[in-house]
Amino acid sequence: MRTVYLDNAATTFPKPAPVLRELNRCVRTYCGNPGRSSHSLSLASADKIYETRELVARLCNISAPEHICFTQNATHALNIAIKGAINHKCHVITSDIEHNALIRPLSAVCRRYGVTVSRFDSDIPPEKAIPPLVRPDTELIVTTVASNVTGKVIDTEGLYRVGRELGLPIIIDASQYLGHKELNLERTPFDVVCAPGHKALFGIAGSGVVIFSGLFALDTLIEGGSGSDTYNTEMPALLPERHEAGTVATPAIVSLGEGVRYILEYGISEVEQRLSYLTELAKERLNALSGVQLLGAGNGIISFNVRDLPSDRVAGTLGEYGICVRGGLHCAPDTHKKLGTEKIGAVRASLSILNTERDIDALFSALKKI
Amino acid sequence: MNSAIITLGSLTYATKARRLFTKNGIDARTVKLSEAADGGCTHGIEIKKSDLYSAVAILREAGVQYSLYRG
Repeated sequence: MRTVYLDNAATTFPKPAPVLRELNRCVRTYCGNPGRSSHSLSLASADKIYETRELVARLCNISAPEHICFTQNATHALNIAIKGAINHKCHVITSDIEHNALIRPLSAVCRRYGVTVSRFDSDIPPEKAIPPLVRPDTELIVTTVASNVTGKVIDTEGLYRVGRELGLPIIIDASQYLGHKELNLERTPFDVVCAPGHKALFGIAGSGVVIFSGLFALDTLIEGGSGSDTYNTEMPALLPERHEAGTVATPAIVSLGEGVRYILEYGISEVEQRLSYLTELAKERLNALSGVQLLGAGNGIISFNVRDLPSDRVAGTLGEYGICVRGGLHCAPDTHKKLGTEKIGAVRASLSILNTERDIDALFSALKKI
Repeated sequence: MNSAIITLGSLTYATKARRLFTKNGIDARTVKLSEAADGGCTHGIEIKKSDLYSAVAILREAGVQYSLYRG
């Protein structure tokens, strides 16, 4: 039985061959501890890490590679951004389709400082949805720009414009966006961008990024060794070391760099077109099946239910046919409440550019048997 | 000594500087220095003395902060 992997919104699989080649080369030939020594392996690792910063900077169109900080994943990145930005009582605006990677750190600062939160309706353009929520004590917008359940994408240009008009800094969760769609931080310089490396960017698990368009100051989440300024008991003020305490995950970062290089060579607009084509194809096939209720389709994500069956049961049955999809609530409680699927969840098939029409046919054939 | 050392604020900036120098035809190598700054460990770039003016111009152009440890 052929395995058909359609869970790329959780983590992409397989990784492109150049990612695996460089990962192997890194671990076998040059993986020293960057920033701690000046021997050849330490410097070779440091050089590859800097090269990855340059590649991510190119992907986002920013001129300062040192504004790319590496993290373990998007959750880690969002914890750095949210807990670093909020250290007192204030009001924050977020969306109604967030992932727990954002909801939970935001809830933590609510408990800690008495922060209050308003959620804007993601079905309404940000320029209309956000201004009515602003209060005198509103200090920040922190929001996803693409749903991990429905594939809905928020208008980033409108979001950026409204944030600037209101004078509010913006932190975005680009977990399902960066690597799928163009994010031009010269045109829309969001203050902080958080993203995983192991999803659309094709790195391995253990990689993520916090990207600063400018010099938006954040308190540190984790303190520790930085390889410099030893007698200072505080973390350095300079990016990226300020947010990279301890030994960084060189193999994961190197894999992320090769993943980004792969995307840049493929072309981001070609990625977008390919995902759009595959998503439309899957949507068309699923719409032809009686008993399948489509809940959302876009940006490489197709979510659906089969009759009134619990989504995890459907995902389990599809698994028996070799189809890897995700059932349940996708760590996105508000989205499922909004969809009315808080009890049975949804089956999510999520695509990467490495999927083919044959994979979609396999999903279609398996669903016909349920 | 025929070499000069420029110190940078962090390894990332040292790597940035070295890559800029190499791109501009200046031989450069990263060195770790614990004796160069009061704060403890720091990183620098060792270059030929004859390349110092060009190197400094490159860093200024790129907006990279530096100091001269051994000029």
